[in-house]
Amino acid sequence: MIDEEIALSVQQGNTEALARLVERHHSRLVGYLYLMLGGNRLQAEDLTQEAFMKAILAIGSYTYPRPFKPWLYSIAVNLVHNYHNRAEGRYPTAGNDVLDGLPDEDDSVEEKVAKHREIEQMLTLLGRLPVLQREAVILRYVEGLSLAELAEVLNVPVGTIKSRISVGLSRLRTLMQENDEL
Amino acid sequence: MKHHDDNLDRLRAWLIEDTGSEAEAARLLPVVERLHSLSGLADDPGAQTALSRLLSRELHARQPEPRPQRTVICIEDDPAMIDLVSLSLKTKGFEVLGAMSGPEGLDLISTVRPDLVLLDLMMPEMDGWEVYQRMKADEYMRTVPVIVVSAKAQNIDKVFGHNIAKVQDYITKPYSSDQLVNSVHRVLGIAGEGSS
Repeated sequence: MIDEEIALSVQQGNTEALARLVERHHSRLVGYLYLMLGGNRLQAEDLTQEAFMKAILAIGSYTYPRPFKPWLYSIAVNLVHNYHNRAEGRYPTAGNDVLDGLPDEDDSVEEKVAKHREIEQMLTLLGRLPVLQREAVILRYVEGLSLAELAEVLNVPVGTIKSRISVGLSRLRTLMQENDEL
Repeated sequence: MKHHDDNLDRLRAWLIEDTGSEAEAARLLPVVERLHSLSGLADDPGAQTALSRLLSRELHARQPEPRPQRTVICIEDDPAMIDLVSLSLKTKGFEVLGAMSGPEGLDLISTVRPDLVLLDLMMPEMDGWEVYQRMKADEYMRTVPVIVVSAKAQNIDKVFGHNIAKVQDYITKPYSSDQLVNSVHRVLGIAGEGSS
């Protein structure tokens, strides 16, 4: 069953369908918010919960067969914008709480440490991108959304998305080079 | 290894789509490779289960209380019209029972005690006016609300005369599904429901 059919079922009060939607999107959404919030794991989980809660409260306004994933992500994106507009929304530059689970269980201690360091570095570099560029590159290259989906999530034309991605990636490349030279 | 190559090909294709240039895609590929390695950050499965429970409670709380199903008897000599009425009202949660003549309708009303009667005015054996009068003369049936259905508005005036005021509502053929549902909702005092 596709997301849109499941969402329709949730709209009709099916709680089992709701659990399936959570199962499909929770992990990705936590990952996205975690990167957007500079590695603040607790805040990422709180905002994920808030995003799902808002989606359930608004599920009556969901119109089948509108793509569900962009609809859900647009809620999360707005929450991030609101979060950054508040005082506590400052992107942390240190003390990231690296999420468990990315390194394979079979990894050696050294490999795990290296992967954690890589995540910390990437979080720091991403934090130096403006929010609009950061969200575009993460949604595209980490979450794998298409340009059309991104345009719907961010409510801007595809051309604007391409521009944000292109500028964001170039800046990230420069930052990576500077970081490697240190 | 193949999986890694497939991933690279996909990332390269995305880059070409985004930048419109193969050279630019090649320049930025190492950047998006590192970015892409951040996908799949796992979270706590326990949090997922707890969230599902929380949301289920919220969803459950937001569902309206199930209303006991209301029964409508449609007295109409044209079976196609009964089917049409049935189709319109069943989607709104009503049970629809059809009767193809006045006497059959009166029998059904006394047996079932419906919430509402849809009464066609022009029927060969016993017309709607007579059915209506017999209903009102019966202590058991007199309180059942009636919506009169007529082919033309003037027929209602001609047959019911001053008694038209006593009818809860009337609709004229041809009527839309929305008109029918609106009329039924109005007579039964069902508010705040979309009729489309």
